[in-house]
Amino acid sequence: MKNSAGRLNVLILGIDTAASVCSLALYDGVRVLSECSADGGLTHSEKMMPQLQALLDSCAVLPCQLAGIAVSLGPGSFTGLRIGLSSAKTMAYALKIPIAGIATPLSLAWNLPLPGVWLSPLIDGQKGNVYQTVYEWRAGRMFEVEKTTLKSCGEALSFLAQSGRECVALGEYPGEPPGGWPKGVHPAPPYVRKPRAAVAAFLGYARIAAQDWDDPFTLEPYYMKKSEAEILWEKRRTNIVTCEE
Amino acid sequence: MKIIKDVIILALETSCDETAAAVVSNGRGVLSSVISSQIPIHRRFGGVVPEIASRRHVGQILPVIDQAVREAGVDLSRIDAVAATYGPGLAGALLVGIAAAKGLAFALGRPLIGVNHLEGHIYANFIEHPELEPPFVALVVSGGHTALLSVPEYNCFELLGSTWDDAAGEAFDKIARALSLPYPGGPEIEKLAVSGNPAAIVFPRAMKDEQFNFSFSGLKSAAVNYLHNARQTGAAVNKADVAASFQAAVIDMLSERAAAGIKACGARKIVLAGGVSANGKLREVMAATAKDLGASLYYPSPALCTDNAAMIGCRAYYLLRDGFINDLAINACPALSFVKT
Repeated sequence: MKNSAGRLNVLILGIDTAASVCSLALYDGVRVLSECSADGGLTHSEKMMPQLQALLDSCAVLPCQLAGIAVSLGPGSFTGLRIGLSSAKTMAYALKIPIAGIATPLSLAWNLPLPGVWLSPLIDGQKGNVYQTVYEWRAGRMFEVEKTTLKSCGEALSFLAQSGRECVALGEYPGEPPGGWPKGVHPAPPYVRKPRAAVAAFLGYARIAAQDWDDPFTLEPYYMKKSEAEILWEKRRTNIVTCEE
Repeated sequence: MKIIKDVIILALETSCDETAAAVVSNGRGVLSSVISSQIPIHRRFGGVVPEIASRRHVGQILPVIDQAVREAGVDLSRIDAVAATYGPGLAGALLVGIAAAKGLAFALGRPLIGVNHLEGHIYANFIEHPELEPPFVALVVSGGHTALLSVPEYNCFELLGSTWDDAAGEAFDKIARALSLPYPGGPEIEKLAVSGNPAAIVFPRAMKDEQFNFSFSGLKSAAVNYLHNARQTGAAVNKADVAASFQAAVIDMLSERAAAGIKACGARKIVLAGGVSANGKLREVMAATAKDLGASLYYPSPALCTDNAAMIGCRAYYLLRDGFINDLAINACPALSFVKT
């Protein structure tokens, strides 16, 4: 089977359930055959697989025709990530096809590959915090300027404001900042703000074509932080040790 | 010539702290049953931490599925249906198993069957006892549920009664914690009770007027208060006596209601199910109760009492047989109870 450019078909399914949007796409290395992003309404658990069925049907593609799966790994909503990854793992296993995990911030930056600006995905990290990453697109490549870090919304915005660069904020940041957006920091328009599975599929295609894929048996979401129970337990243990000392 | 093919179901169970997968043939033939337990991981927290359980399920689900398929010696293409527990349980934990099952069902082009975990526990008995068939009365006793049911036929469950407050297993765990016993508390109480006197302390048997319903919170408070008072007055506590007396009170309530259920339904069979049905003393008392009423007692072996996927595969077989299948939109139902199908 050949794709639209006459090359060997490598049909990649992209899955992004890291944020409130449930996004699925089919990419063949040249064209995005179909993409569906549904934000709000039903839960990821209820809508993802029926949405996948409809996506494949709309392109007359059968599951057995898929050549690989690209899945967004976060950081993001723990539950959303687990739903997308759990289905992705078993589909890759049953279809005997490779799986490639994609960092959600990188995927978001590729929503808007523009030269000359800082691209800063901000992903909701709960309790008024965001996961901030900063990228710069130069000469057709995406460079990471600042690695993904959990910080308060205020810190994330002042980091951008103090850079002296024109910055575009992407991702699911928690609403308009209290004092408005700082000078030089611009929110991306809604249609490129949220993660898109077509981007995950595009990035996954490159990895799978280069035979750089992940092991579905051990692949995990990027949680970036321990569970609250573990944090509390460690804090308590540190306190006990300190008291004993 | 009619060729009858075996119906092979791949089943998943992730409702709490076990990641499990099984391959079951014709409902009762367990070709493989793999369980990856998280008990050691949660022990230091004194109970199951939902977020940690969900994370562990994502890491374990595919290795467990693969091991179950390999041990069964069947090719994935031979699987006729995929089943998963959809409730009750921890939402985040259930979602991992359901999402994994959906991926398998979709990729293989096979039907998906959502299974009620509690019905699965009852069906564990069909695996253990090939001769067992409905009708019977079932007593489901676990960490999350205590219920008495009449099961007149395979896909019919009539709830006779359930607990107003705590589940029996939950009460076991709470008293174990009050006695500084490690998690999970049920087996620890049972062990300690062996050397204790069940008549040493008279704990209340609540709701004597209720025919089929249960209540364990009063008993739980009484046991906690007993320990608290002893601590305040500096009185010595015989932990084994507390464990034995508490266990006896729980078992009294369970067996009394079960007896009422057997009588009311005119049942000839009583079936125990759920994690607490692994309790040796409960089995002993229930055996005597059943004998008095001329009924036969059935219970699964300890391995099938705790959470496993073989029982989910067994339950799914009878659902599939009668055409009960789900679409890919099925969601987790953390508070699922018994529903009439």
